Amino acid sequence: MAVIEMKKVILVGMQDEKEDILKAIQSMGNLEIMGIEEQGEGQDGEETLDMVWEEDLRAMAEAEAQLSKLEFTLELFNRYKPLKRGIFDVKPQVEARELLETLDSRDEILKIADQCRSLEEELSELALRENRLYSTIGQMEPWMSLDIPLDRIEDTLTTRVIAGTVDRGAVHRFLDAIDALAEEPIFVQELGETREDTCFFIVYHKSLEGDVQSILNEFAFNRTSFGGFSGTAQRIVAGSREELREISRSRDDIVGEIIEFTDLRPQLELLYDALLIELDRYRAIQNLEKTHSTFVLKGWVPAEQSDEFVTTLGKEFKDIYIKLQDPDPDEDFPVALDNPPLVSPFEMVTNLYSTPNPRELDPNAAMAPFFAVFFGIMMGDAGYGLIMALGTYWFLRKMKPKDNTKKLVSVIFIGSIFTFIWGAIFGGWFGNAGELLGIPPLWFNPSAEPIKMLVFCFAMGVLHIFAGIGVNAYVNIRKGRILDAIFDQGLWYVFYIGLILWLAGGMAGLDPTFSQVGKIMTIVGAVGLVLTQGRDKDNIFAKFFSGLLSLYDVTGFLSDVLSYSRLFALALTTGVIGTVINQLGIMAGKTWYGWILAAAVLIGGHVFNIAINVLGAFVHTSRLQYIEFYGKFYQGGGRLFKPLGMRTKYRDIKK
Amino acid sequence: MELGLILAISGGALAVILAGIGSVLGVAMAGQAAAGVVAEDPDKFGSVLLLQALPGTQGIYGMLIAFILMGKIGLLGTPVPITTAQGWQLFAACMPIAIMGLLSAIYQGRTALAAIAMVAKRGETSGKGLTMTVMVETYAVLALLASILMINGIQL
Repeated sequence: MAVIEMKKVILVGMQDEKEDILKAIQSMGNLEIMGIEEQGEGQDGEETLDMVWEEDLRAMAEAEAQLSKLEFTLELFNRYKPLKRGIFDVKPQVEARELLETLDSRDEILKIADQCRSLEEELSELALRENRLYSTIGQMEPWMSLDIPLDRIEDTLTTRVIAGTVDRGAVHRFLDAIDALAEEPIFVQELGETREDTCFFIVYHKSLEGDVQSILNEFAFNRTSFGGFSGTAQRIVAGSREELREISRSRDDIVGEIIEFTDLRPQLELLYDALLIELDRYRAIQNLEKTHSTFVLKGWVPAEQSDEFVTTLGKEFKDIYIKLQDPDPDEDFPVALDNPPLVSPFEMVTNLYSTPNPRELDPNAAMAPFFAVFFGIMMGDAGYGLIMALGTYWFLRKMKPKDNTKKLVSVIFIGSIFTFIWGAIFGGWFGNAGELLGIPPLWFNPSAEPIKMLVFCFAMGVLHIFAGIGVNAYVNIRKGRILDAIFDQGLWYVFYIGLILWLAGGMAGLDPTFSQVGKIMTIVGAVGLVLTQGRDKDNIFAKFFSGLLSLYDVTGFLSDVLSYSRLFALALTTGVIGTVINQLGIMAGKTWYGWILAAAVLIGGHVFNIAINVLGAFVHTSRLQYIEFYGKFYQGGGRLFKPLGMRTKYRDIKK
Repeated sequence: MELGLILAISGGALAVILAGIGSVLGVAMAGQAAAGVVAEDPDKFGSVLLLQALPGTQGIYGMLIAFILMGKIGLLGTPVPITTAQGWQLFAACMPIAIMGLLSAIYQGRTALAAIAMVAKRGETSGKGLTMTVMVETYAVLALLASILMINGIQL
């Protein structure tokens, strides 16, 4: 029901035992070590001690390097033998001892990672060679009909021998120009084509040099040199192809080797998690202060567990000094919440907005019932409620999600029970299926009586807002500020209730005396507010004007209440879309194959409807809490308690 | 009588079309930003997907009005005769969600885009981004309600 009290821990130990003490703290998992920035605050005048732990910094860098090595290898494994691990899969569990024991075989496992890395390097080498060969083949292919070895394309005593390309579009004119020299000793062979050019092999007598050169220049003849190649183009291509086959064979071998290594994946994952735990410890060390032979640790521990914390460490280590301290009145400590099981899932909703600050009331207990009820109204379908309840229950039991996932699913589970209840009240069963089967609503059908529904939603809103104001009053009273509670919350109650009775009393057909009473309450409330709302101002005019101005808040109240019309709108959305799906199903279900189609439409459609409406209901209910409810009293801005513990990625540690 | 029916159907069609266009633009805008974020950090898929989905509701609201209208004029069962004046009334009743759906979805898309950029920089702000984006939707919800109440109130 509240923000958990924290004790400040100051622990002094011997440097030789630093590692073991931190290990013990880590396995208890209930101490958050203060960051350097936090330690600096509020300790003026105190001399700061040396905080550089060079050896541990090195060890930290090494652990990081090893982690990235393992990560690389595991990614490599995933590339060649993907792990079929769905989003719904549970992490395997492992004993903490077993996990940490893998550190003993760290070198062997890292050796495997190194081997895999060199295999991967071989693979990229092969890929590089492959690319080169492909480009060689691409380069050689147009020249394949030339049966002269490429390294032999060179001038003879009397002839000039050249190979080169001409733009494809100019080939005809080029050949015509050459033909004009028909009688002369020249030989031109047209070879293959590249994307833009045609390849030529040309032999001519040196006496033609001038004529031929001018033609070549005219058509931008581009001489090709075959430096580095020997043999005919055909031979080169064939050789390259053979080499490619070889490469693919050796690639298969290497991939086979990697796949064999993937059997060791569990070991790599275990070591990864063990190193992650180690890394967190090295990081924590960077927040410790040191003297010549001791170290000083400052942190937070939940007050309830603080005694146990001290005795456990005291028993295990002899040379240790631990001091527990209450936080200073203005000192912020990390926030952990303690709520009964029905409320604690809703902490996730609040934390999405802002964690409560350590000095305020934990709002979750007040918010949870409204959240569940509003979520239920917005979904508003008994059939959907049943399905969602079964689905989320199965998920929670079977998949054992943790942390925020668990909380989110639990929120939807609780919400789905209210979805069922409100669905039955408003007669929603899988859209209009209940109506078709003759199941009457327990109260009334919102789409038949929209105004009634709207008024109901506004009433829920007024209740919610009043509850918000009430929480604020409660906080004021608990802090002993009785007058604040009367002036800032009590008078607003009088004013708003009066206003509602006065304006809506007549419309609702109540006895006129209600209206009269309302009018009086409104006036009393308004006068009271004008007189009190400016009470912290200095002069009488400022007091009066801030008092008068405060009445303007009534527009805020009005828009807050109107905002609850979204309850109606989202409830209708669920119902109407469900009805449409049913109509489509009925339209399809006229023949036997039509029934199959209808079944598909009904199942797919209703699942879709549930999905989009859960999203809609969740975000809109959250909004009503954040803006309309929390706006009345909640500050937030706290920092979640993050104790030094065993953080893992691939395995869960058995408790 | 014919014209009345045409007007009523046009109103419903516009509700679907305009609100739908708004949602398409909004979701697409947010989606492009979301894809960029996921490319950098696949773990943020869940939170940016939620943000991307938000401008999608206006299209659903538009369709909702079209179906309520179809039910009203008996397009799915036995048609109800509609005068030209009634046709205009129904047409007008569809306009709140048609126009507000179009505009609010586009602007909600822009807000979602900014929120996604915020989540990309600071992952823990996704709840705040979600709230900011939902604020825009309020006016689409109000328009939806207005359209529903108007269609409901028109006497045929």
